[in-house]
Amino acid sequence: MGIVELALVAIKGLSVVLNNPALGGGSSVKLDQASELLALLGELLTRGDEAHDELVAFTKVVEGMAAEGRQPNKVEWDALRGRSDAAHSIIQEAAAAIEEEETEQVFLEELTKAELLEQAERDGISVPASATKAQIIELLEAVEE
Amino acid sequence: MNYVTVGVRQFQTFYLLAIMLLLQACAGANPIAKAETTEQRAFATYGTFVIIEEQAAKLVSSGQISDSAVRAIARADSQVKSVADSLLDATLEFTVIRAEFEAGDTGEERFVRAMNELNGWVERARPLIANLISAVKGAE
Repeated sequence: MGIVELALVAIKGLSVVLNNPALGGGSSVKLDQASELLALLGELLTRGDEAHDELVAFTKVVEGMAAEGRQPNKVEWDALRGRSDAAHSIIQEAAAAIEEEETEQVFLEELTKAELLEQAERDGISVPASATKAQIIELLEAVEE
Repeated sequence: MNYVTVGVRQFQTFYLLAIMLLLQACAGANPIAKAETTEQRAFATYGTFVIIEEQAAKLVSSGQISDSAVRAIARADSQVKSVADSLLDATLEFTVIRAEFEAGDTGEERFVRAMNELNGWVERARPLIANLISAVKGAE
């Protein structure tokens, strides 16, 4: 099955979810959320070749296991868990970084202009006298990045 | 129910739907269909989850999705991982009990109970979408 057919199957399946309140969809789903989901799914499918290859390879591993009549061993389980833990960490760290960035943004926004200027001075940032509070925040954030 | 909750549920659904769709769409790439024993099915299910989770990790690292999408995926990932890891733990426990049973160190009743428990996990994990949504609803 080609990527286009796969995408069609995926979108068809997704539309079932989006239209079914029991599956978390229904009238409460905003169009932009649905679009974002579709975009995400599309992104996943675009990268799907790699996942497909991995899935084919993994299918062969399971098929071999069945043919040999053996059960997965601890090393194989540990390898999978390790991969999952690594992927899980990447996902959670990305979310944590976003959270941290937003917290920092809120913190800076709560400071007065004088406090922001002090902060800029401490960070060695030169701020034009005419700079607004928003511009000072931008400068502080740019330096942190 | 607020939009954050709806969003999380959608991503949970999306995340697991992707697994099922991949399995449906790729007839030659269906590890679960090739598994013959309970432990092999559990392994195939967990392995498939890992492959998709790695794709999700690449997606959030790509910088091509919004912050809210990253957060929603992270929440969904946490939920899915906990189900998947429970399945893995149940399998490892079953493996020990099976070895004990085969060595005559434990009774058939315990072995059957452990196998039923593991089968229960596998059955819950295989239709992953329904399973996860049920888990979320049960937690509310």
